[in-house]
Amino acid sequence: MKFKKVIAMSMAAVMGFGLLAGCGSKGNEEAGSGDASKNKDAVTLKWIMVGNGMPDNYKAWLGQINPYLEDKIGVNLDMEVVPWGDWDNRRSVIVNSGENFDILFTDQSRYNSEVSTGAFMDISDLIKSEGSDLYKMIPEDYWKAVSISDKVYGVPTYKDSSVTEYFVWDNALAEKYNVDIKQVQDYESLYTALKTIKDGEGTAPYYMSKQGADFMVTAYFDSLGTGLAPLGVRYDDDTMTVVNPMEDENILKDMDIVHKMYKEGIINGDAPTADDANKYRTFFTAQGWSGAAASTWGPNNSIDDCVAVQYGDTVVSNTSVRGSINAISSGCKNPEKAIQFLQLVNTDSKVRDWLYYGVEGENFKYTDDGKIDKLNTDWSMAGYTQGTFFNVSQLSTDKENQWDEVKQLNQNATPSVMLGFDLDTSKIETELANCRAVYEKYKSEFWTGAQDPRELIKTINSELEAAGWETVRAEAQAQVDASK
Amino acid sequence: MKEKKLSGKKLKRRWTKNDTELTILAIPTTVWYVLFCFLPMFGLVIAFKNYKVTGGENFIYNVFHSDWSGVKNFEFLIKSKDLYIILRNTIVYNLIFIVLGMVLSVGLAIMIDLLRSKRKSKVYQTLMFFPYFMSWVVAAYFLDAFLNQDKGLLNVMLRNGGNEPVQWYMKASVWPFLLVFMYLWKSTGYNMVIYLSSISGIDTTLYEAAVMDGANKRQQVRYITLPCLKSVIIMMFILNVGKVFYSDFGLFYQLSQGAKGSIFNTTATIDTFVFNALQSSTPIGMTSAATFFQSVACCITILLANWIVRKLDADSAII
Repeated sequence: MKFKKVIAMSMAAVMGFGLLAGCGSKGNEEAGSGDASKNKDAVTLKWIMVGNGMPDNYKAWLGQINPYLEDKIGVNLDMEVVPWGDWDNRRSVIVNSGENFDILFTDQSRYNSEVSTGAFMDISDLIKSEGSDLYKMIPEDYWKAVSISDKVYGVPTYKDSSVTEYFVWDNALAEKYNVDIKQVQDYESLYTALKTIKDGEGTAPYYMSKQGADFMVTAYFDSLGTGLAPLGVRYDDDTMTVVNPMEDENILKDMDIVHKMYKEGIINGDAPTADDANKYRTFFTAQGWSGAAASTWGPNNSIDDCVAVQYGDTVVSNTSVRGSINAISSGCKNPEKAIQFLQLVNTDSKVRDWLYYGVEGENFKYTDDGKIDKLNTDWSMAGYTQGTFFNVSQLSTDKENQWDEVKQLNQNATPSVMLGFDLDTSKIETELANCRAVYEKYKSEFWTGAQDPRELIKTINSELEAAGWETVRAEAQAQVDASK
Repeated sequence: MKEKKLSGKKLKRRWTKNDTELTILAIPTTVWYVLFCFLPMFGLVIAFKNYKVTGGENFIYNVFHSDWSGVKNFEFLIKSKDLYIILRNTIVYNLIFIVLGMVLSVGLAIMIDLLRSKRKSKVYQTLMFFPYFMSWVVAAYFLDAFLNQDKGLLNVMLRNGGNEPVQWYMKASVWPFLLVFMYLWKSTGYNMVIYLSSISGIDTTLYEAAVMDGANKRQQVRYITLPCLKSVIIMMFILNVGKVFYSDFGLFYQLSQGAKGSIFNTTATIDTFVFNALQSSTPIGMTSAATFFQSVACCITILLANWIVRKLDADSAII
């Protein structure tokens, strides 16, 4: 009997410890970070973002940036860089578990639902008082795009935030087969061009991952913040009719060609299951600016002579601006400091360069005229998630200022008719979840052209219908009409 | 044998040194279960809540302070047209696994036991056990090496033979066979060892007596080995039946590369469905509701199976 008591006691103790461990972690973290800072008043901000995982020289980098930040605004930085592969799962955990963070990188796929879960702080007023420079720097349209029910929940990254789609080529190979890439600006001519390369090289020149050509929706439609591709309003549709973009005749016409390319082996056969991997591609499509061909796309895909050709218009929409947002946790204890910090990232060139290029002296060094010489490619953070492009220093290898080009694109972008509109999904959550499940099921086979799009869309439509798509559409249309 | 059983029953009334040792041995498992199975169970309450995050509070606070939503979260699953498909797949696959798995591993266990050469039987045993250690993620890459559209071994062979290559990852009809095959490949060796150890526990005098009476090998198996294995088989059966609403996520998700598209109808199960939903921006209340449903269904089936077994043979029931 005595032994049983001992067992019972130890069980109770174990359970108790388990609970304590769960609740107490927050206290520990704060105590730990307090020790690290020399200045007692300095506030430590935890910034969670995506990249290729923690950089190897993270400690050295902190040693470089923290004294500077502390000096300027009394802040110490603590970063967590989540690898791309873990991002979706990790982010669910961070948001739903109420994990301790100050700033979180987020994007169009989750921003709306994360805001409605209550994860982010309403900074509409704070941004004007604490970050007035930042507020002025970013155009009004952008603030409109990230606001939900007229409240701002995050700082958009002022960069190539308008959607411009490019065909990106390995120029050497294109020249070998006499492809005039400047003339290839639609899928019809693309087919002829790639066919020549395919016949000559024997391998599939158009590498697709399972995302396939799903950018066709974002390039022409606003998905109203639902994250559901088969629901949207065409950017230039003044009647603001909510439709299913996947059955849009223009998209289907392009998808017919994609399907043809898939069947003929111009697109890799394992596309519907292939993960996005950095590997050599003869040709691919990307969203960005043409200068990125030399500075980003080429180096990332090991193409020496990389050229990008724009096709279609440039549009600015909710979705495009929300491609990169830094939101502040609703549990943030020092929101003023967080805003000041984000302002510094977006206005202080030095902080920005450290974030973008890494440790000065290890990853990059400044040239005499204030440009950047990259010493290696070890710095693994994703530059576009952090802050604006326009105060990043130029690479010494750049011939012209690529950021000017981005600015130009942004200025000339056509704003979407739905800019600033967000769907209140509370009444249609069930139907929406079922529609998402249907889309999730078919998206990779649809967008990679693995199936005949016109046949597959019939299946998708009938399943969407059963999942309550019409209810969602009617509700969306009602809200759109009310907002006019 | 009978004597042993009786004395065992008597001893149970007093706490002995043996019990102490066994209890200490059980502590790590118990702690593990408490931490990872019983404590998280309270999270099931999310299925009935409209989960909202309050700034700066921890998860437990958030759960308790979210509004109740009744059974609204369950609508997602019930209204889904796929509910029938995922339920059917989960249950039918599991039943096939249970029956085939049992026949195959019991059969192999008996065959290996009958081998004269002990060294050979050890070699076979180890070889068959080996796949059990392999993660499904690794197995999925192996499978991809066979089935890949462009570079997979099977398609290369088809192409060399002048045939049209097959898109295996989009061909629904082959997946039931593939999944069953892969399941058996991985689990047979492991289950076989369980049966093998109970076979070696059978009193050898029974066999000696049977040989004296002129029983051949087949008769020995039929009248001694199988009846002695009965209780183990039934126990394994009840344990497996308890999991008919649960599917091996690695098997169904990794091998089929996400169980999507054309092969959805033959590969999707409750677990893959929930995972896919969780990866899109579906609220966690709805996905919790799906797993809650799964757990309750599992609980009911295990009790039902046990009840049926008790009716048939009271000694073999485990609860």
